Amino acid sequence: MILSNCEIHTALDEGRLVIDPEPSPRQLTVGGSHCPYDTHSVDLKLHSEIIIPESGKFVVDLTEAGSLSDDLARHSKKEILTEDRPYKLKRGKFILARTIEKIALPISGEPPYLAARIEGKSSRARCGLLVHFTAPTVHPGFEGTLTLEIINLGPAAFMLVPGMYIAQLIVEQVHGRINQNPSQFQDQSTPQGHSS
Amino acid sequence: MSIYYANIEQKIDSNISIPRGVMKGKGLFMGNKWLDCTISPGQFTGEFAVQGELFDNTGFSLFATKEDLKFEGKPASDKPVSGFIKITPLMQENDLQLVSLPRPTLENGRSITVRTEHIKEIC
Repeated sequence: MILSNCEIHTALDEGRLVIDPEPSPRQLTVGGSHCPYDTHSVDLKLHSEIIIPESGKFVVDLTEAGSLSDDLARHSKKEILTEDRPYKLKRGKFILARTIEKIALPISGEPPYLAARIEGKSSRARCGLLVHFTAPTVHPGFEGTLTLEIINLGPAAFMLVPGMYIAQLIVEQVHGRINQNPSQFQDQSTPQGHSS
Repeated sequence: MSIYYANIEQKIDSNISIPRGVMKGKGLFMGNKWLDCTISPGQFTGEFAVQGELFDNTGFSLFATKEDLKFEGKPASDKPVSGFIKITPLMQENDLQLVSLPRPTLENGRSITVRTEHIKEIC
């Protein structure tokens, strides 16, 4: 079940959903600033820090376990954007970015718990901009900023300005109880992960 | 980060069901402990690349925040430092321990099996 904007407000008030800083204003006002709450989503902003992976200098090999995070960090460059110095994302270029807002979906209290999905915005999509691909899910229990995998598939360069609304968060209610982190040890009976 | 399995009474009270593997496990104990690891700079500010060793001597790696790490000095890409990453023990069997990491590994999920000797209790 997807939460409406009113239900998102309730979840924020009850602490079942945390968005920090909390997007505002909650409602449209005459002459007021953009209301980031659509009917059943909330817009999130682009952080000033972006990561530019280097191209063609190394191979990502998942069988080389144990060094992937270090390899990825070594082969990427960080840039801090400002309004005066935005990033011109050229056609076909891929970068990593993140949201300004920290998201938390606590599972310490009583169910029902919440999950969420990060999605692009249609206005950006029309320009050929993907802000995430293959990894939209924010699991119950998550806490942190959301990493954005941004690629420009459009015909023209796209200017990334920190603070711009870059994505939207869809919040959903998880039905039923949950096994925390079940994918790794559900049905297993030994520490090695074997099933009996 | 959220605390997983920090308190079994809390877990039962909140009606969160316990995974079958954990229920069956021998030597179940709760509480956060720390796992040996090597730490180098991550991609984003405040993020670190963490590398460690599984029970079968293969490696795992993930990105983690400062709050989930203990180390001294300043990690550099050409000079990683030794340290510890916060874990939540889930199940113990002989000298092996199934633990949950604060973030998923890049290789395969959040829960890993390590050797008990690599786990430390640090106040």
